[in-house]
Amino acid sequence: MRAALAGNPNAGKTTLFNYLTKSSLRTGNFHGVTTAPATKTRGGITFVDLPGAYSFSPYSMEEESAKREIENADLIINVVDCLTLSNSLNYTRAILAKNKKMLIYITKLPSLRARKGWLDASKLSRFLGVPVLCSKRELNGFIKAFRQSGKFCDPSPEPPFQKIQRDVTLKLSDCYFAGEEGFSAADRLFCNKYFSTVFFFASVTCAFFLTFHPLMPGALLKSLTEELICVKLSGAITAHMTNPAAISFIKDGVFGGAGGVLAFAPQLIILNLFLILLDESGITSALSFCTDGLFEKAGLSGRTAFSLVSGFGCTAAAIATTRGCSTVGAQRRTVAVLPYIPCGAKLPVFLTFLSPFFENPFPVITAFYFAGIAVAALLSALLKSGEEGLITEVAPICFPSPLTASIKLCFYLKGFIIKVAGIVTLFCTLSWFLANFSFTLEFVPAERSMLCFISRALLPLFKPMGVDDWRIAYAALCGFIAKENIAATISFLCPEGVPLSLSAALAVCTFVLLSPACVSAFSASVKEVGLKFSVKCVLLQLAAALLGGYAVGFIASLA
Amino acid sequence: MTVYDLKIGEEGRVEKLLLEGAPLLRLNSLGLKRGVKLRVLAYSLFNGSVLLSFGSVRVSVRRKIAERIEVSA
Repeated sequence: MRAALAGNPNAGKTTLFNYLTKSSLRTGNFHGVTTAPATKTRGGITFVDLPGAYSFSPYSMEEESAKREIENADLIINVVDCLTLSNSLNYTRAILAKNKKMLIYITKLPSLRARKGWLDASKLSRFLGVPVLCSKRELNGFIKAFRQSGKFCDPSPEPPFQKIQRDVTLKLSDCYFAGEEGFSAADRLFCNKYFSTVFFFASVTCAFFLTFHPLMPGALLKSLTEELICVKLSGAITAHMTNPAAISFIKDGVFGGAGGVLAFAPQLIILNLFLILLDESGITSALSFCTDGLFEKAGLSGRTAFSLVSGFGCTAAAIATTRGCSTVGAQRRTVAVLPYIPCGAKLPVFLTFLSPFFENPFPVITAFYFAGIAVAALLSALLKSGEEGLITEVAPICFPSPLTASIKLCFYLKGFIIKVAGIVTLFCTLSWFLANFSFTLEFVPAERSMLCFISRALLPLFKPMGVDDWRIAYAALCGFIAKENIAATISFLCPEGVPLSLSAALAVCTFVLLSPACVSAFSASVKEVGLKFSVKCVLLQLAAALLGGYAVGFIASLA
Repeated sequence: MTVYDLKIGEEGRVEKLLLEGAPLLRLNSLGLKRGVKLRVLAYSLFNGSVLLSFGSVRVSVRRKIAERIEVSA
């Protein structure tokens, strides 16, 4: 038995689906969150969550897939947002014409009452000739009865779908009053372009500050977590071990890698909490509208700009924030472009390479940062399709539900720990193995390890940049695990100083600027936009990084 | 005059929708047709898009499209 949940965008279908099937699919207070049907069977009924649609005319692929699923369903649960009832009923009538077993589930009733509107469910039910339900309890009762009546191939209407006599004397105004549909004070505030733009930059700065500034909770909790996991916990486990290889494996391999990534969790929580609150209250929707003129030229929206700014702190965290992007295309573009925004971990790298040559390295470093932003904006502008965002519904501003926000946050954290930490631990263990063992599988210092051999083999790639020393290549390879490793590795392997000329140093910095982000960012990317796309991005970035390095090395050596 | 000539808070009645294809279908299904009364709620930065309300719906429309919606005062 198939039950399809159909209705306008942002009606509350996915929220209902999550309730009915105990799932946790992505929801958000703006239109276009669900882009493909999702199915789950519970208690013998297969529920299908559909993307929102306004009609059966194929405007987009999402509406097409909705139409197909409706035609295949045995029961249609038409989820209707009572705040936009008169408009929503257009779709309802189109579904009614398909002559399927159908019921209507009303959402956002409390908001309707809050603005002095009302809805008479039984009158509406007689007006349309279809059962109209307003609470989950009623819905559960209906579904139970539907399940018990069993035979879905029986075309005759079974209870509770006794024919509801249509009362043609009723008008819509007898059943429903929309209340004060005004533009509330909050709406007016956030749709004011000046306030909105200021608020946007202020909230981005605030979120960034709270998350990444060294003295703020984000960074403090990160070092605390890192300390707890990488030092205390691994220390406790290795306290009674004697084999140096095993100790190194636990300390540097497993805990060094995984611990380093899990330490991101507090910062991710703060950043995501901010975004969840902005999303759920509808502020993101309003902000995106107001700042649209500003970002439109670069093919961005207010939402994606938020993610890009987060990229200055940490690319992996920023990629994770693209989850809320309104279209898949926008999300992909943002993820493809994010690694060019230099994350916080790249700063020590620039400092390490450039300090020997510049008394005050910050102007040069700032130049690199602006170069990164320029590349990101240019790439984004080149990739944009231009058709997104032509016509979008804007949600009203409301107070975000603390419960929904915390549920989302927990779900997000769970996903992060399981997926991201898993892949990263794997990579870290692998790289630890390569860096500490020779080809004869002996536990050796770095100079005789497999990774060293690989670095020497890859050195020719770095030669055009003016790099002769295998240790630089080694450090660059380590950088793919975590950019923090580069500076640490250099200081460990080259205690006498960095063996590079100025032009080579600039070339290597360019390489680091353009190179693919660390494995945490890669796994976040895989989680958000899939493996194929992520791999494509990495290959392109690698090519760009090498070419960029060559170009800068060449130009700098001429000067 | 087009929607873009209306100031914030002003209302207009849709006379013509000089559009075709997907954007026209989308506006129709949202409820915007000839004869519908709409109101301008806000403009975005650099007047890139306009926020309209009609029926019980609030829609943000980019300049390109909005300039093809003709209204009368």
